Amino acid sequence: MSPRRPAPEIRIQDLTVGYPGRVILEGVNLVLPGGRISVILGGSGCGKSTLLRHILGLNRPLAGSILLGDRTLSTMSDQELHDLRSEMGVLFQDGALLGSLTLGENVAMPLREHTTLEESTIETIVRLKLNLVGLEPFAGYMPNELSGGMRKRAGLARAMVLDPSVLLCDEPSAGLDPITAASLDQLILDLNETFGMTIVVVTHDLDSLFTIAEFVVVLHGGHVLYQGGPKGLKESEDQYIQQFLKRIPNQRDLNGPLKF
Amino acid sequence: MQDLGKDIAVLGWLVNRLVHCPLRCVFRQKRFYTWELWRHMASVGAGSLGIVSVIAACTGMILALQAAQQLEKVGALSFVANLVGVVIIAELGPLLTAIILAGRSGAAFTAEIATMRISEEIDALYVMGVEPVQYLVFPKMASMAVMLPVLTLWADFVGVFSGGAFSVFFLGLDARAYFEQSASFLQTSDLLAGLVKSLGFGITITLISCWQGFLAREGATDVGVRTTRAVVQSIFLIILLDLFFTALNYLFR
Repeated sequence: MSPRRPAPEIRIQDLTVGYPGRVILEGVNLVLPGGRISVILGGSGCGKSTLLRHILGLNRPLAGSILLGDRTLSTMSDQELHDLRSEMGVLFQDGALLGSLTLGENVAMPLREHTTLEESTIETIVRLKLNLVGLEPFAGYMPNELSGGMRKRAGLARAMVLDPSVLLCDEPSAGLDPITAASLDQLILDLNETFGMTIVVVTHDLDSLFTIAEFVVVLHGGHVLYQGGPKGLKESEDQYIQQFLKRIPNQRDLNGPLKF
Repeated sequence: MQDLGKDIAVLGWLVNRLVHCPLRCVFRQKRFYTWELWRHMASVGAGSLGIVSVIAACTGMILALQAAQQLEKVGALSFVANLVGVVIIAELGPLLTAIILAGRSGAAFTAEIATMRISEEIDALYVMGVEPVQYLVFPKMASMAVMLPVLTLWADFVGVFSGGAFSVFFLGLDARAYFEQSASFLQTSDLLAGLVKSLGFGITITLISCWQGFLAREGATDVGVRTTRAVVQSIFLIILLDLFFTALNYLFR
């Protein structure tokens, strides 16, 4: 494996994403600082995960560009993206572990694809990474034998296995109990402190946000509503942000069949 | 109509990627996922052996019974061996085996890929630098291309043998005469034609099943819908291909 690379910033310029006939994000300009934990916040369907998929190069934007350091992701060829992805780790919403492989084999897969390391070295690295997330004794388990929290931790170990300079996490605390969610938040903080990587977390979990975020982006209505520190977010006078932070339901939802 | 265009584009993408898979392995650009091949060979081959054997045995006996009913009227009961042999080896062995595998393994292929798409496992493959067609489709195609002809050979053997055993025990035919007549009547070309057919069926089942899996968009319902479509389309195409192969065989006999 190559030595650790400096954690790059992610620069998003005039980005418009969506599908033919449906724009999800329009004219987004952002800079996610390198070596810090950025949290992308927003309601369901606001385009958080879509933005993450574009940062990963899984989708191509309709317009605009995404730069990782000084490299433009949105114009890269498939081969260039393939090479670049060895510098990126991703924790998907439910871990996205391959069901036909054991936990250890799942974590070993990126190493087998991107390196020519010997099997014994791969096994050692896998053990180290599983140990990092407290799952070393479960290396031989199949994903369906693990709890949701364990699957996410295993997904994190797999995301970390190539020592990436950028870690992207899609709703890491979704569906977890408060203790497991807090443990995962702590793990993300520890990873950032130890390895100094750029971490981008997509979430709508406010507890998680105020625990881990150094930089916050709020998406709403296809645009960036706020970008800055978590303290500034709390002090924002924007009506939507205050409604989001104070968990106030929409007025029209109160007129539904359920009376409170 | 727009959806149909997109679906066909996905099929084109799948075929294009699949054609490149062996080349990538030869030039060592990508690995061949041997453990996936063994997993699918075990599932497609060993896993289907029981059901293929039972259905082939029943078909052999049914054919012997039906043939005996008709041939008895013209005093040609001994020709049961010819009829059972040719129908099983040239037609029903490959066809029934393919239909069983379309329902059993083809459906499993679709459900696996569709579920992986919905649970972001395919995205995870891309992110890990794994080409999904190379990892998911190529080993399935290779296992089906090997195991369907092998299972067809087995179904041919079980069908002919059970038809013979039934004729000996229940129709009173002489065992030695029955199997000698089968061996002398059947030609190697009948067997080969059946095997070529089964190879074509195997490729068709895998292609349709994996294609439908990649078309899944969201939710468990779509997995069910895609699986159903894969089985129906596979069986439909198997019958059409069978007609095509049989016609070719007849023309160039």
